[in-house]
Amino acid sequence: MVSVTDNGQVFHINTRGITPTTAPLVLSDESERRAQEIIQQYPQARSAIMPLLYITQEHFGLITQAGVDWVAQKLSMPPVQVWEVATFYTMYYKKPVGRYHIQVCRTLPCALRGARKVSEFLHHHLGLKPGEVSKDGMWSFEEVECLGSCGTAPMCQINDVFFENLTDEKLTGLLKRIEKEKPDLRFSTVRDELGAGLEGCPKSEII
Amino acid sequence: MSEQAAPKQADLVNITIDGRPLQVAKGTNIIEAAKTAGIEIPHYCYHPHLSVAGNCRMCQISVKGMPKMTIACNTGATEGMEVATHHTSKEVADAQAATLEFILINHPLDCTVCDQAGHCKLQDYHFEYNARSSRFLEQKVHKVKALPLGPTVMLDGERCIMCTRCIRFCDEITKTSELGMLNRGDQSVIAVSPGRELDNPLSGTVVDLCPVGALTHRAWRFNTRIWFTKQTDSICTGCSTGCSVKVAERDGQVVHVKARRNDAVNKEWLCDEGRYGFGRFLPESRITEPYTVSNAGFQPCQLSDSLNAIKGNVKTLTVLASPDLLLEEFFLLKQLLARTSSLGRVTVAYRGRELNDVEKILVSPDHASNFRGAQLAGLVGEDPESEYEEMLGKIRRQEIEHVLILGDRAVAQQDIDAALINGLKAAKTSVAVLTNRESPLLAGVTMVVPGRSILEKSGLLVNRALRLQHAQAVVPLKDGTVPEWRYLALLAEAAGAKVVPANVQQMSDRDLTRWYLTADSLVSSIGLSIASLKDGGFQLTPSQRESAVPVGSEQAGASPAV
Repeated sequence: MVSVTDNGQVFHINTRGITPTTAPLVLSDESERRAQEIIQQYPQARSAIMPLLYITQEHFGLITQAGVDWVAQKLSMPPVQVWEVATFYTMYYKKPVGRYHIQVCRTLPCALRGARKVSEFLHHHLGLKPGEVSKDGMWSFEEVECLGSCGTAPMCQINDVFFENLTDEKLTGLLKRIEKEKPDLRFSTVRDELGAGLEGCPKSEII
Repeated sequence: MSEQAAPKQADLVNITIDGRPLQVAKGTNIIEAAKTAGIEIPHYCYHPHLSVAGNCRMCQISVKGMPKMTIACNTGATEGMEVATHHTSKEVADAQAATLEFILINHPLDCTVCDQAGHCKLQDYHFEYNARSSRFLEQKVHKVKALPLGPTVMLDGERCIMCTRCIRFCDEITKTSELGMLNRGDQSVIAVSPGRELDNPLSGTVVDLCPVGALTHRAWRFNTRIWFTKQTDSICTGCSTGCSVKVAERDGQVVHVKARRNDAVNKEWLCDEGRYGFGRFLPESRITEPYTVSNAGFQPCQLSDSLNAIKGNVKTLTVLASPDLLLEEFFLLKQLLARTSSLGRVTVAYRGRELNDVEKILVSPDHASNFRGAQLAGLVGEDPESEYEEMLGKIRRQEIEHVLILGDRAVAQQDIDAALINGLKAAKTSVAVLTNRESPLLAGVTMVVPGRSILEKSGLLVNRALRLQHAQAVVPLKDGTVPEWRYLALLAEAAGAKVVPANVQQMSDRDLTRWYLTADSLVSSIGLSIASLKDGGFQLTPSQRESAVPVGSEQAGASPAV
């Protein structure tokens, strides 16, 4: 367990990321600023609902009531409508996930190209059933509906990053490398660091 | 009766539905347009007073020139449109049957224990449009079975077909937004906003809107099967809005109340107070025979005894009338008093109340369902509340000699106190027509006549917005009871005032209504009949109200045209 100071507030970070229960209800000024910026990009404030949900998810580690209320208040809409969006999409986590959260697409094109094999491989190697988190908090794994990468099926998404045209060999290498290098697989960082960081996976297949 | 101005010729378009030529206002959706031709297009999610969601796909039609079938609820009429419904198009009928089969894929088919069975659109439409067994062999999705959404409504997630009517009602009508649809695909469920409850004053309306058995009334769950009940179209008498309702009765008890569509009054909404409290005017312990109250206790007596007690005092009689008396009764009372004495001695119990924003959508700021009727009859003035308060003051100061109390609600519950009871006791005669054996007013009266609850009477009510409506008795009559109008007629006869038709005592209240509709200045001029009031009532104009007020003595005693 590590404590870091961000903007004067203490965050408790463990291997799973930020523990939701101890995260402060008030988001950082930076988050507030980003939220304002995003809202201004749209003619209607409510259009900003998805990026704002991401901000809270990055902050809390998952979608929480406090996060939803924050979004609802920012966009002047009823909280239940924010929940509708948050529960519709699988990329918003409704329960705690591991530090590396693997989402395997199981919709038709991926299924035809061997998505079930990918799932079975992960089940085997991580000892996890869909929806479970590993004991050390490192991994979690879930089967989800279409992630919009049908042309490169089968695929999975780890945190924010796509990994495509998966084979058993590729997956083995990927898991090993992540174990070793612990890369930051978030939108904000992936473009600069990750493409080069993961040898053997061309950038086009990563992003 | 044309409330809206007739649309201009230019706004009308010619369309055909199943080959039948029709003229409707431009943009009318095809469900409503078909309705005017008597063609029913099945639908779940569409509701005339909610936004169009278009997600149930049940109202598919085929329009000539359109490449695919389209949904009627979201299709506006345009000039020359040729529509084919399931009646004439096999393609449409097949599509509807297939839609139903899809809707029923995850339906638990627990009709045997479902409260909606018997008035369920899934059952009706399956019988009418599909009537084939499911080909679905896979495991059905299981969801939450009995989840209270709030104090009034229970959710069965498996029965839900995701029409979102309840969500739209809370978003668009009450604007409280408690409900939402969480998750997606076959995992979707209706849910309350986490940390909240569905507890707005109109919450029970979502059960009416639910076309299936997903939402049920917690108060009436597993009460009775709907086919064991007798259902009557009537009017709610909780406040002066006068909402149209359909009441189910079994064994003399109100077992289910549903809003009935009446666009001019309540659209299709109903408040929880009116709905769940509908039976409150039907006391458990009933007075069924006349009796006298004295220090010696209750002594049974004859009806004529009470008439004899007050017939000589009609000139100085003070009348406390329940605001839920029928218009006929107010008119009778007016004629009785106008013949014999001056006015200003009749009050109806009118108490204003504060409403919150959601209540204001529907509820009126009073509990006086027919105070407009009393005004129409010229018994009370423009400010019934201050007249009522003045009267209470007089009674408390013991200035009243002879008093007649008509109905349990003649004095509002909150106004009954020791001073008032003492004031009534101090009167020389005080006769009350009451239904409730537990009524606190009994302590102050000398004679009691067994009255009839508003739920046992049929007759006219006038709502706050001056809409004349016909309320039907919803429960069977209690033996030995006397409706106020009959008592007033008997009193008029005993007092020698020839104000009513000679045979009024033998008339039923329905006949009495008919007599008023034909003989009275107010309604005869309009040419109304009970049948014409059945469908949504009749809107009186303020001028009609003016002309109705002076009930001329020359007209009293007009022979009934029954």
